[in-house]
Amino acid sequence: MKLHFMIVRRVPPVPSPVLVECYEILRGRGYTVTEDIAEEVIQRSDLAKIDADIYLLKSHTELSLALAGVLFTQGANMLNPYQSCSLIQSKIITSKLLRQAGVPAPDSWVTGDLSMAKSLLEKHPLIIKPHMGHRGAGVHLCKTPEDIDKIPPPETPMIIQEAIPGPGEDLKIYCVGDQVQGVRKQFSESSFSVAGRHGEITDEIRKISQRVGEVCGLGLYGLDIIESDRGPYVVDVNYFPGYKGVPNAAGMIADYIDDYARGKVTLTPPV
Amino acid sequence: MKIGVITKREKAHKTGSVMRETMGRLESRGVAVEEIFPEDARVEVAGVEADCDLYLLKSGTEAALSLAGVLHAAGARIINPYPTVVAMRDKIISTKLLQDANVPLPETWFASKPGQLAGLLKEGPIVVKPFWAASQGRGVQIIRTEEELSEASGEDGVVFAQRYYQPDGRDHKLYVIGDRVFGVRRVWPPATLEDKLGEPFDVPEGMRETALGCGRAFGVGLYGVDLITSDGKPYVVDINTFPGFKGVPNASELLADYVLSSIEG
Repeated sequence: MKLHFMIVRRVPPVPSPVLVECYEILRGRGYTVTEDIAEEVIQRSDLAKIDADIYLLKSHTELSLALAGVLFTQGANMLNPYQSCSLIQSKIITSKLLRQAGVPAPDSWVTGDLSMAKSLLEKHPLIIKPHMGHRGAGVHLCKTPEDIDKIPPPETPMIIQEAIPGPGEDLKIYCVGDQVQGVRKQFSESSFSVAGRHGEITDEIRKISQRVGEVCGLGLYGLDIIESDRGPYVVDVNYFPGYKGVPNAAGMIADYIDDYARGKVTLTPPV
Repeated sequence: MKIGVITKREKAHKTGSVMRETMGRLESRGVAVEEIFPEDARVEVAGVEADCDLYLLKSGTEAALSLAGVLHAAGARIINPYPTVVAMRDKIISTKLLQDANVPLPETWFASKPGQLAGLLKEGPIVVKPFWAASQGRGVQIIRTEEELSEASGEDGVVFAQRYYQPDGRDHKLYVIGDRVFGVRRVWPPATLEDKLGEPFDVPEGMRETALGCGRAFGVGLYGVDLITSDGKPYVVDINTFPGFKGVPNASELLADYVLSSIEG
């Protein structure tokens, strides 16, 4: 059986140790494993055809998502499902899916005109970010109307969320099927590649994390959670994260892919 | 019965707008019509509910599309459906679907950097277009030399290119409502109001089949197709998810009929 990983070019160009180990385990079990970086080749769309039994979408670039979309139209088997990945790229849709399913997520608004956000500051500080995007790019914490004025006029809709007061560190949750692992780390735009501390998580957080997987139709996914005085809040969801700082991540991922390939687990996209 | 129309304020109130007339016709048939202007709003995401029987996604802005996505997540019926609109607006995905439906298209490539396309210029000029949600020719460049290519910019790391074919005459706009296909010939880019309105023409059978094939590729019945002919051969060069239907006789009546019949199922 052939597994094909759609990966992203890394800077510096060293392969992800988690993936390298995962490939080794899968090859040891008889799988053929290939990978490619969409950005490195010129593609002819009429030649795109399915030549792997399962595609694993690891890259989050626009080009990779479009290619995944092309493979989806051809009936490719994709882990995570293409529809799930495509929907959760929008933070607005993700927010709706989570709240609708009763998952604790911050109050969110969407607008193209940030002056409309100002009256919301009377109640609480705000996090303002583009509706698409990940890894903390373009995220603004606003406490005063002046903070909002400093944000350049947006070209795309912005999502505005209540800034949930937390303990000053993010809880990164990494999920493989129903297994939930937590890593605690400081939030910063520049330190997304820094590993955090693997730590204990509560049953409540475990249940919330598993629920997010069901709601979004994801098997390999990550969450950002803020542990506030009011309880945990899910502030971000992403597909196939890096699993940095998770002990034996490669082994768990390989086992999950193996189970998926054998039809022991299935994933249902949201809508 | 209630229909929500997701549109732009300045467009909705233009006189002569087909959508404006369509809304009037729907109202006179007893349908409540609610206009939704996502640009003017601050939408509370959790509070969005699908409280209309049907939504018409007329506007193509990112704000309109986000709102449609939220409505889709809330279970709304939308013309055209949100995932379909996403596929139609992504030129890479839509090209593949049209190719599968045997719609005649220019040869198509995509890459992450313009330089990767240089080899294609040996065979003739190419057209570089934004891969996402381009409309009305914005960002479309005809590239003949490597120098022009190096100045062409990709968008979010994606460069979408098609072989350029010199059109035989004016562009053909094909408007589809259900199984009805209307044709308008237009000069691009339009210089006068007359150019903008174009000239209606009888759509030949082959062209009609091509237009309907585009709809089958996406499973939609309300859309526009831009088609050129070069050396007598047709090429579909663009698809619009909810065009203006300008120049189509009786457009508002046909649209109102189509919308009502799709609610009734």
